[in-house]
Amino acid sequence: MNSFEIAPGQAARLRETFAEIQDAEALLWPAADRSRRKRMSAGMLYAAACAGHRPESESLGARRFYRQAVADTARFALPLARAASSSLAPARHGDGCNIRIERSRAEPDQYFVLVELAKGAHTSPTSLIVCDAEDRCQRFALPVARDGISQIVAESDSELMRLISDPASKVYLR
Amino acid sequence: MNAAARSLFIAGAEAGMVEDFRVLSDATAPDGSPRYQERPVLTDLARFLVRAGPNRDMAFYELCHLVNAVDASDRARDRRNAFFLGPERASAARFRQRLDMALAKGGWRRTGFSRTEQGVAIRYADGAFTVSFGRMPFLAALYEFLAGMEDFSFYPELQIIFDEMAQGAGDIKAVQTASNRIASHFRQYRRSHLAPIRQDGKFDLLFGFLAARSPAGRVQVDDAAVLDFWSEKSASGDFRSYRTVFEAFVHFLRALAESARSESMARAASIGVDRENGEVEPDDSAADFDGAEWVSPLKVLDEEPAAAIKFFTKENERKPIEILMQYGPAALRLPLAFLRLEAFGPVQSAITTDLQVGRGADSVRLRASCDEAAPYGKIVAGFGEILEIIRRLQKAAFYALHRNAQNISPGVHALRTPESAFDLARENAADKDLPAPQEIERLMAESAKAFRSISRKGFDEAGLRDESRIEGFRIGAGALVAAAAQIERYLAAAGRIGRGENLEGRFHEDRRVFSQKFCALYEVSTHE
Repeated sequence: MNSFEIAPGQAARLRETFAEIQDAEALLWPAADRSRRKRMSAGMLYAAACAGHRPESESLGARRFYRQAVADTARFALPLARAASSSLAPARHGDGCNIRIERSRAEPDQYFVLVELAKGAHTSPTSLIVCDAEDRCQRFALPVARDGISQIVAESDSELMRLISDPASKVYLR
Repeated sequence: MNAAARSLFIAGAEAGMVEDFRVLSDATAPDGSPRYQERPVLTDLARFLVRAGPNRDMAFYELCHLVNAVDASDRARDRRNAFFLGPERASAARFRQRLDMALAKGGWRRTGFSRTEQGVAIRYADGAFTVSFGRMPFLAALYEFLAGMEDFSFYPELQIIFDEMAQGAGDIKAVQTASNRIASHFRQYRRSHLAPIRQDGKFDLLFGFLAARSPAGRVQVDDAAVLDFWSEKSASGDFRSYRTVFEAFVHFLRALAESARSESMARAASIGVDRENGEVEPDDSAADFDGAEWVSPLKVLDEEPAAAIKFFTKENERKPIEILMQYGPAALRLPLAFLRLEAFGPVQSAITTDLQVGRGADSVRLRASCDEAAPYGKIVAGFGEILEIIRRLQKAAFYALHRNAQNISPGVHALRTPESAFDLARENAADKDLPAPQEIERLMAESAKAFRSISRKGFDEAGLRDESRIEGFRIGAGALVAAAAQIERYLAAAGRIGRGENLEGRFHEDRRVFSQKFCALYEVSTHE
């Protein structure tokens, strides 16, 4: 027999504790429907940002968190474009790094995205991440820099040119 | 909570607390294992999130102190996320390592902080605080929950709160202010996600029922109360399922124990930081709301490195003891009610499934007869058989732990049976006086034979050269001891059921009662 003394006034605390246990169990109870779209936790989004992976179709809040994690872990941040230096894409100036766009003379539909590092940069970044105004981020591999300049050749209708030409987009280098 | 109530809970809180919590419980480390241990980390977090009583915001205060220490250990922009959200499994050792790595880059950036053997000690101008490494996995889970809740909408504000706290972080009041700001926001979240679905009515029904059959000023909970309550209240939606009723009683017993403990703690000291006024700081035990809360040994075996060893087969060895291990001490407090759950719980679940998939009245009628219910004697005998298997596994684990030892001194002095030797060896107990060499030899031969007779994953001689495998056996050994003790205690409790009345007689009577009740509940007759 389990017999317990109930002190005057203890019932209220007991009710509270009982509700707490029941609610906590309900949180822990694995939901029957696992087929629903899975959300990523803050930790998993952070891990994806560090590893350069792009999370699949996440909500605006998650994208915003992911973009902030990219910004926090980037070596260079070039958030807003300055006045346009070409007809298509504005140049970007960051601390220790610039990005400018040049049209190819040989192929009119091609552009060079030139990433220039300040002298004295120890290692060159390996990826360029561009996030649009809705915080959808895309990662592009950066070739090894020569004389402090790394360049990507992009078609005029490419995703990179669409993103980087948007003055509201933010660019990060890692 | 029955399936319907759970569904209601989940439906009511969809995209809210349940979903926010599920994201965390689904999160994995790079090796695919859960990022947070279910017990104690997730259970403690769940209890904290739904807590309405005193000290409900204490963990925010602890978190703020830890954030303050993290800010003082590193200047990197992402220092907080790197510390709290690093992808590996959240463990005390991992947080110790992260802190040490940050400090290796340049030590503490501010004065007043020190890294101790147990954790981080912070000395403020107006007080002091310590956060232990053991507490950090819980605080990391809380940080991650706060960061991700309500689709990350609170995250920017959370960072602002921490940034502003850091500006005045030499002062404990700044920490308190930050903690209060988080608590204030979280209270709104808690209110909007929890209040509409909380069901206080359940408690009132249960407490009223028990008080009416107990002497004044006391509450008595026994096996008969569980069955009587179900018989009386099952017509109402909340308590239709016997399993739900059994769980409600288990929760009630836990609430009684916790309530009694908190009453006595309140008399002993209040929790706070003002030592001069006799208040005490929370430590690791603050996360342990439930005192010595039971953890199923099977859950322990599911975690690496023990998970790499197949101790039990799923269907024949693990499944029969799963519920007994899940309920732990509660099954011992209500042994007959538990046996009823084992025998008739599956029958009721099957009826529910029949109704859901439209199998028809004939199927429900057949099940409601309870002809397919497992007799009590068979269930108890099954536990006895699993106990024998566990003893064999204990011998095998003993061999795994001592095969490479120069001598098997640790704890062997108390050797009377291989199981007792195993217990001591698992604990790596210091040796005082060794038994005779022949005794040791006999034990090792017996253990080796047991080990070699098991042809399952992990039970191979070659694998015993692997440190991780040995650690798996050491952890598994603890779980086997706990599982064996639980079965032994339950067998003893089952032996006392009815005193003199045989279990089969009791089973036949209960089968009649459950069958009648199922027929009434599901509106079928077994005589058609």
